[in-house]
Amino acid sequence: MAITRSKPKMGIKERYASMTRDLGWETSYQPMDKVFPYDKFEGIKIHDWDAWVDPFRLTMDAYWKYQSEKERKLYAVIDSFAQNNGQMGITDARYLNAIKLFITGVSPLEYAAHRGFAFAGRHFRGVGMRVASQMQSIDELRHAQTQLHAMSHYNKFFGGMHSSHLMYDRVWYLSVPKSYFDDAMTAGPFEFLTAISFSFEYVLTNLLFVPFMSGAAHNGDMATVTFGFSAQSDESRHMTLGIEIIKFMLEQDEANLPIVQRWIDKWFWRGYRLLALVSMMMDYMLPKRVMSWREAWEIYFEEAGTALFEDLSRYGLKMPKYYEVANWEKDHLSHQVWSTFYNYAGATAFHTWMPNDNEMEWLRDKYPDSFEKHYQPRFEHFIKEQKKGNRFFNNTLPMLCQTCQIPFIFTEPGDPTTTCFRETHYKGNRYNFCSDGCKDIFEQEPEKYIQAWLPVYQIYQGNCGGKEIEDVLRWYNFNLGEDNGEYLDSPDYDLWTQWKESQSRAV
Amino acid sequence: MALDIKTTIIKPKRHTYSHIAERLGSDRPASRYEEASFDVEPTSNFHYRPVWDPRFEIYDTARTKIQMEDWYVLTDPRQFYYGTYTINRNKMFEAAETQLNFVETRGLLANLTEADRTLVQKIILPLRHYEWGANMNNVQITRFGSGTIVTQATAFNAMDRLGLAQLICRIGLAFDAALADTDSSCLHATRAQWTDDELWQPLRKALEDSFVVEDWFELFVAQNFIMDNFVYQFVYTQFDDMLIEKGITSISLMTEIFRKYRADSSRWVNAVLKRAISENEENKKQIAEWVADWSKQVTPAVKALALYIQPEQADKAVQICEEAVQKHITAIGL
Repeated sequence: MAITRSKPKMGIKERYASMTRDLGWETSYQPMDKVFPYDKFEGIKIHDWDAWVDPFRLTMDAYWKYQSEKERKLYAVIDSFAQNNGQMGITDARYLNAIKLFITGVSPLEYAAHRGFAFAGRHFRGVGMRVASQMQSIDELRHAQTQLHAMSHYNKFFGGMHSSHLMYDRVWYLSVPKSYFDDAMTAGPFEFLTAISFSFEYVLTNLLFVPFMSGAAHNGDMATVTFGFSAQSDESRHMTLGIEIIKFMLEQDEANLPIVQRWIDKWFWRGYRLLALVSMMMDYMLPKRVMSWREAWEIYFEEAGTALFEDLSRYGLKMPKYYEVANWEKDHLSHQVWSTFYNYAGATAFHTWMPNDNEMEWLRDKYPDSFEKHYQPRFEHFIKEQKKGNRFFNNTLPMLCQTCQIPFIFTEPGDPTTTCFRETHYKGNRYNFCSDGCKDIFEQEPEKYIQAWLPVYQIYQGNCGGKEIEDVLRWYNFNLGEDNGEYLDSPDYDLWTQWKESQSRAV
Repeated sequence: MALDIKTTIIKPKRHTYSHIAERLGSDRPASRYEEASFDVEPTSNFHYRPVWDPRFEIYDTARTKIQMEDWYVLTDPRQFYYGTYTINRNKMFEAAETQLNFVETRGLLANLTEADRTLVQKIILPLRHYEWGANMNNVQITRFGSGTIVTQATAFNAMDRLGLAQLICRIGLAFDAALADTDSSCLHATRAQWTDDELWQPLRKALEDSFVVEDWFELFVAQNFIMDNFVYQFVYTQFDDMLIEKGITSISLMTEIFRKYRADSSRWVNAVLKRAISENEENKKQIAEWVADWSKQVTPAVKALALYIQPEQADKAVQICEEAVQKHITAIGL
């Protein structure tokens, strides 16, 4: 019997192409425009879909091999974490409030990305882009599910994590991340990729996903940080997709440039506003800090972002509009956000508290130009009142920005003592905005943003469980007195103190 | 004597997430499948309607005529969430790779007559395009379907189909490797066969017609139940049986994974349909209608293949195929 093995007839590149883009064909029983109805209306012109560079050349068998190895390792760690009461090993129970924010505000975005990339994975007529989008789609499902599994153990002992999906649909501040992703998912496929793959994953990931994982690493949270490491190689694939899609659009036709620039402007600002939540997490929620928001912004946006846009300037792209405003806000953002959430602790599924003396010192040190002057006096007042038994809870409902849905808590660029407030009129109604960035976004697509489900207005209209704040909180499925309120008065604090005391007695 | 390691026991406040406990009827420890799947898809308070299709919300149960009181009853008997799915498919495809390598290293394809080789290449290789079409349809359902329990399974199924399309490419490459005397790959011809050869036009037409189906549940029936049952039964069972009768076993080794995959995915597809049919009479009627419609569309495709393979046996082959599919139709309660 002859065993014949000839020289390979295809190189790696051609072999991969035969396994991906060669699979597609020009349909004729149904017109291509009907099979792919959504990839032209945005105005992006593509002349040669085959010019798309497949960033990874990953076939499914290789995908399953890598991913299954990672899954095995990850679940081994999650199991051992639970078995050995890993929750006792974190720095302090205050840390878990970052996890509460993550599971209610970030994990649902992973899931939304899964479905959004399925849309892209079906509706581009280019096969290569579809395959890349599909892989990201199931990666995102992976992240949503492994996060639910990794955090499930904390949920058994602590408040605020038991109803993440329902809270994402209903709770007032979670409409900030939800409206962000709803905005992307309701856009066309090219804008979706610009929003999520480029702006979110490529430009801002080091300020969003990474700070949570670094926070976990610094605070003894083995379950979450192991997830973070396990997701790292997925994330780097996603980032590559992000930069490749931008280059592809810009290389295909110069008429694409103004469209792409408009999307980058929009999604930079939209993403930046979402990061307000992360800034307070970094500066206030982590018992052991990784770095300040200001430092992170300087490294990951001012340095890395500027370098990136310099690199992209050869395509004619400019820095996203209003980046100077974001740069200015770095000294103020986290403090303004934390004091707002401190105010509204009665209506949040996580706890807030005032920084202790050491933390105040850290804040002064990290924010020499702003903290002592503008925020410390306010915090000292809160502390004084709290000691007298008057912990401040704001029981009014704030007005929200029509675009980002954050209350009016930000100040005028350059003036930290004046609230920033913008408005516009459309079809006889007045709409309010927290910034020029949000106002611009509205004005580009008013028909979209007038639809926004603004939680406070919905409460007033009676669509959120009842008239009283307590009715609304029950509709949010809060366990009152457990999920919400001041940290020092919380069952989380009691439980943690009890554990720590019993441990020190044992010693 | 059992080994008894003393560990610290800390009494938990609750055993699982609130919405899972509600579904389970009590707060007891939930499985990973349950925690990963139930209620993950948002259901209310969407901010904007899709600019590309404002008739619907981002997730909208009105995207199908099928009505379910609760979409999360359509569970997957395999209990696949990402982790279990990926680990399972890695094993399945590694086994397939081993079999393929075996056929290649033992030079089993070199033994085929030219006529048989041409026949096999003509029947098996263009199906990579069919698998890709099945991928497209399942990705479509993944975006527009209702309930994570359904759409995660279609997401996995979509990736299965891409993997299987790539496996057919590997079979093509194995043929290339076995034939030292040609320079081009046999894969190069398959797309033209798929788009132009009369043999494949009825199947391609059915598939392309499915691409524009709006109702995602109809698409589920058309692709995962009707087209797949017909195509897999005819090609990977009946055609394979015929090859074995002729003494050709190498193809069977290489296509074993298709039968394994089909057995596995059928369990899920049938379970979903059976449960949806038992929900109410309207569902039953609607699904029966789709089953009849799509059977009518795909039968000519099988007939074309049967006529090409063995003209004198064609009617009988189609009949056997229809009977096999009928068993599935009966099994789901129609």
